Amino acid sequence: MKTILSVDDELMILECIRDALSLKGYHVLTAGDPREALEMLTTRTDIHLAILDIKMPGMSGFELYRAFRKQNRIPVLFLTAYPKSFNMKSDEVVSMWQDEFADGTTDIMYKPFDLDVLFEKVEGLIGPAEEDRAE
Amino acid sequence: MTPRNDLDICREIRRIMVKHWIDMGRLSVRSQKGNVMLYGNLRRIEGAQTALIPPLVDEIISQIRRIQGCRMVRTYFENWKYEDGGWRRSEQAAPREEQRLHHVHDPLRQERLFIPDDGKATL
Repeated sequence: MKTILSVDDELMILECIRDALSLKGYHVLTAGDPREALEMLTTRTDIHLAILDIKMPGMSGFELYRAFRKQNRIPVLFLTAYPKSFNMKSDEVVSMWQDEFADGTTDIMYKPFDLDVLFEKVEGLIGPAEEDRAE
Repeated sequence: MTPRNDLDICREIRRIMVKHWIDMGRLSVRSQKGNVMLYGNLRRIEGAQTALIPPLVDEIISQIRRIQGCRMVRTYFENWKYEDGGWRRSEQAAPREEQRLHHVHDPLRQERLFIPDDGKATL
């Protein structure tokens, strides 16, 4: 079974993602605090995908990404209600886009989102929950 | 990396999209046994210096077609239509009836096919 860590300061979003992806057979961990997520992402080796909200208090999704990325290169799905978070006028975004996104292991999803889009994005990044059974 | 399965194909597609500064948040990518489907809005990320133009759309699709293991590419773009041998911007969502007709890029035949819902392909 594949494990996904969803990180968001909005409890409702976390519950929605957990319930939806659990129904698809994924094991979903949640973290409302990015620092707790960082701890999980740097110590656990059983996480296949991280779904990161971008705007969170204390540490943004981008900061969290950069903090664990050197140790753990799992696929990442960024989640944001603000499409302008990915603005090429921002040096931070341009640098991440060119240096980190270029390997194709990251994707973006905007809130609000359809569950079908969530499933497509997740499957496109890590495949179905039970790969062997699906093959 | 040599793409071997749908996961690799999706990853290669994302690499191509990132290289072309495409906003992946407005696009969905799917590959089933090498049959690739692209849905949504094909546009560049906010603040990109240049807008997407028809030859670039063609180039993006061509690059996807060349991914090893990719058998076919179907596009369901909301903002681009393939008409009269070229891509045309279409800011309005295609009418439902029209969306059923989608063009297909078959890398083996190097032709664009139109496949309606009944599955009968016409050139």
